[in-house]
Amino acid sequence: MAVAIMRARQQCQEAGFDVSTSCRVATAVSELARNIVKYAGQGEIILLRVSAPRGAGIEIRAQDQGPGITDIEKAMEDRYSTGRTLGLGLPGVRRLMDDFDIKTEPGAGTRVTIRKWL
Amino acid sequence: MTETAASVYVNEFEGHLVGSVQVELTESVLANFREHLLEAVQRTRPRGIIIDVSAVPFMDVQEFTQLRRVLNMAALMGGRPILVGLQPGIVAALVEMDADVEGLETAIGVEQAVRRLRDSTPDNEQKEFAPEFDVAEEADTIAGPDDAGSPQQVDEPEGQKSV
Repeated sequence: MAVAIMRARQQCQEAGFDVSTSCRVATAVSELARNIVKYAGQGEIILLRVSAPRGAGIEIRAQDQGPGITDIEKAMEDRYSTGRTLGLGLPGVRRLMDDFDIKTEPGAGTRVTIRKWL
Repeated sequence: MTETAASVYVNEFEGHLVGSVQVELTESVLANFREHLLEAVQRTRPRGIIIDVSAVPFMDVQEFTQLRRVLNMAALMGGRPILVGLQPGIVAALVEMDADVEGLETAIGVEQAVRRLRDSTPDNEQKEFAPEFDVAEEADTIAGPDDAGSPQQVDEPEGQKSV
């Protein structure tokens, strides 16, 4: 997990992100990695440099074959709106990144894809 | 100065403890820091406990939460913990992640923390830490080694009043 976070920071800086943005991306990666360890036991984190018409960026896929999230809407709810969270940190991860996508199925696992653009 | 492990230090300064972490807060670094800091708090009975993390390159929410626990422990022992030097990127990420920062005393740098502690200390308590370096040196040279233990007995020579 520590390796994933370190790599994320390295990749960000190599891709041209400033220290502060790299730190935000690393925080998001750390949160996803901790969720995998905590709920699924194991999984993988893939770091990719991506480019699109709008420019270059970094993409992170965090995926596992764990229990999945039964109430995804609740998991995405903010403390500000509901007063409590499921504690997965997903709303925070979404705030830290530009793109956020989650696919999850109870019993089959979860895949979170996040992107930050330069 | 006590070197507790690679890049983790606990120093005494003006009646305060200054704990400095210069690496990422892995579990073993945190455990080591906690042990040495709390031991130093008990031994030195500091008024302020300044924790300098300006050299920590990255800290995620869990690491921050663990660090807060150590600060809470130090506070429970009667000290006043002040967290110093969190980097901009870390701060931004912690707030976006909704980390619990409530009730945490912070300062921009060690100097600001020391000044604040000094300003909030009653005069009578401050005295025992008050002697400036030049005063102490005067006391030594004038009174000689025998009287060095009671510098308050020594009058300053006229025209050399220290500020």
